[in-house]
Amino acid sequence: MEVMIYSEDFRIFRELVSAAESLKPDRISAAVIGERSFAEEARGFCDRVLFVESELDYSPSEYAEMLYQAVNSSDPQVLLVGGTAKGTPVAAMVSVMVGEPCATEVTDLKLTEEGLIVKRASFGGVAISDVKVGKRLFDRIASPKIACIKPGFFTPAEKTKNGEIEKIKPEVKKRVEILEIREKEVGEGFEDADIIVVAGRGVKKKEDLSLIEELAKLLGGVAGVTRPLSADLHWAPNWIGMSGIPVKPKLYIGVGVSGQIQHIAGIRNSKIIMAINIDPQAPIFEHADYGIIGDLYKVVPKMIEILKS
Amino acid sequence: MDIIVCVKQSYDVQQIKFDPKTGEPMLAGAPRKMSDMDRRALEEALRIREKVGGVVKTVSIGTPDSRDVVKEIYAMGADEAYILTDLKLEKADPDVTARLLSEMIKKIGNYDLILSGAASTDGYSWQVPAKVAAHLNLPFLPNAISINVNDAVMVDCDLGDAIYDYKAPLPCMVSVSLEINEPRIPTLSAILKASRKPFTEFHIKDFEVDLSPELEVISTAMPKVARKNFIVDASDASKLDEVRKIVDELRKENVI
Ligand SMILES: Cc1cc2nc3c(=O)[nH]c(=O)nc-3n(C[C@H](O)[C@H](O)[C@H](O)COP(=O)(O)OP(=O)(O)OC[C@H]3O[C@@H](n4cnc5c(N)ncnc54)[C@H](O)[C@@H]3O)c2cc1C
Ligand SMILES: Nc1ncnc2c1ncn2[C@@H]1O[C@H](COP(=O)(O)O)[C@@H](O)[C@H]1O
Repeated sequence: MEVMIYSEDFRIFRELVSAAESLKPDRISAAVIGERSFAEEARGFCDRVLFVESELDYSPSEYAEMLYQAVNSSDPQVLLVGGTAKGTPVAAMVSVMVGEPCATEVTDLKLTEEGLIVKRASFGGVAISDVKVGKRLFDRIASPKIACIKPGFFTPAEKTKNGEIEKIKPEVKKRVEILEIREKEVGEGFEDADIIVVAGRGVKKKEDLSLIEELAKLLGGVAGVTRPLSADLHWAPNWIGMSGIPVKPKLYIGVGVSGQIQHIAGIRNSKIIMAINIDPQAPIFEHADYGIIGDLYKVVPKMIEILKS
Repeated sequence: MDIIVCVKQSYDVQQIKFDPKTGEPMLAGAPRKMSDMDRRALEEALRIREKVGGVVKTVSIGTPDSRDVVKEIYAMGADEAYILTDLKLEKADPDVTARLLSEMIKKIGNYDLILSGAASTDGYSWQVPAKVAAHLNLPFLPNAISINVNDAVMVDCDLGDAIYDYKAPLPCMVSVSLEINEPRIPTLSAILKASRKPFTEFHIKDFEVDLSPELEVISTAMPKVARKNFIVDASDASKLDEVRKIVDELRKENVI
């Protein structure tokens, strides 16, 4: 049984290696598009690298065509794709091309006699489901069942192999033009933080984030924000939650965070959840171990004062 | 400019209840609302129409209790709504959904631009738009945070590590992110008028699509984490000392 993996991001690629290994395949192959140095590095992690030579910048339609060619140049029964904003649409399009199903937002997977079974959030993060991907495995050549693995759920693998590289150079029609690529600032990494203090819309001005940062620092933790503060207001490069970075610190403190389900879905595995909110009805209190009803502009300075004394 | 928008009536996920015994979601009669990003996709289509003229049509599929979405679609200002509902679609997966949507779109015909949400609020698969694009053989641009059209379409896409500014020929398919716009709130009179406006219904038998899902949900459960729910009220200046109780608890927990 062959598992093929693909991600444009090297850390996530190494997470996919671990996810693939958990299925105990006979061999792991990797598709690498465009970047030769990535292909060279990838050899250390799998038995075979299909290097798709291409100058094209990313667009889902063209990358799907190239990944499809890589699949056809090998014989994977399972294709694992890094579940990023770039990876998922490519996987979904390849799924149509190979005529096999694709599961997305996958946080765990296993192979049973019944086929490939994955875990994913359902109802927008409210619940977790077990989902069977395809009625059976191994039915046709080069027709893999596909899963997009959510970043951050598998430990990145270490180098243990020295696979061969095979080059392919498919003809791919360029369908869209890229006018500009604006790189984003790289935000805080939250993987190793024991304490995370998150600011929500209750924080009124960007300058006031310093209050949240001060509290985080005093506790030896890091500060984060909810989606609107990052994606709408651009106060920070990334956000905590289901569509941002899922976290599981020892202590999570939400300050002026309402606790909508998409945010909760990303903090649910924290050991202790604490909330500061002016509204006693805020949903976050239902998910909290500790809560303070009150104005964050009074409560946070008071907390800082107590911690300092 | 002919624009087709894919609009899903999602479950209102914030309000889903779970059976305390089985842990399974209780979906019969559960409240629904238009999927958050789809509302933005429709808003964006209306803004494009306001700028360059044209017609905004919507396509929706789901179970019969999702039909109410049409009222809201019209109240916001769409020109024509197309809908396909059937009880058999309860277990429809992204493949079945995308196949049916693209068949509906083919039947409707003329289009320059197809818009959708990037991910639906309840399904959250991020797949349907990419699959519709693949079935219709259209270029696909995901997670748009801004769209500008003239004879081509200029789309800025938030792809995680960077913002990609694309230029694509028409027709093409674009999915929109939550932050692309602030959708309008329909007026009361628009809502009243909307309930009388006719819409077009398709039926399963109009299409040759296999409805059995390849993604089969085996089990669903609410993750159970018991929380202590120890809440103090410090809403009043005189009660601010309550904060100390929580700090003490955190110290006892050995996390600070
Ligand atoms: C598909 C999808 C994915 C999403 N993914 C994410 C995600 O990953 N992460 C995420 O965060 N969101 C996500 N969202 C958005 C989410 O639904 C909420 O809109 C968002 O989490 C709300 O952020 P907030 O709590 O900061 O703001 P609000 O909901 O506006 O809450 C602000 C809170 O601050 C309180 N407050 C106001 N003033 C004060 C004060 N002076 N002192 C104390 N409290 C005060 C208010 O009572 C309120 O509860 C997603 C949405 C969708 C549709
Ligand atoms: N049943 C449906 N009816 C209409 N549009 C849909 C439906 N399901 C998904 N879509 C569209 O596809 C987008 C992504 O959905 P999903 O793949 O479920 O995350 C949604 O935001 C909608 O625009």
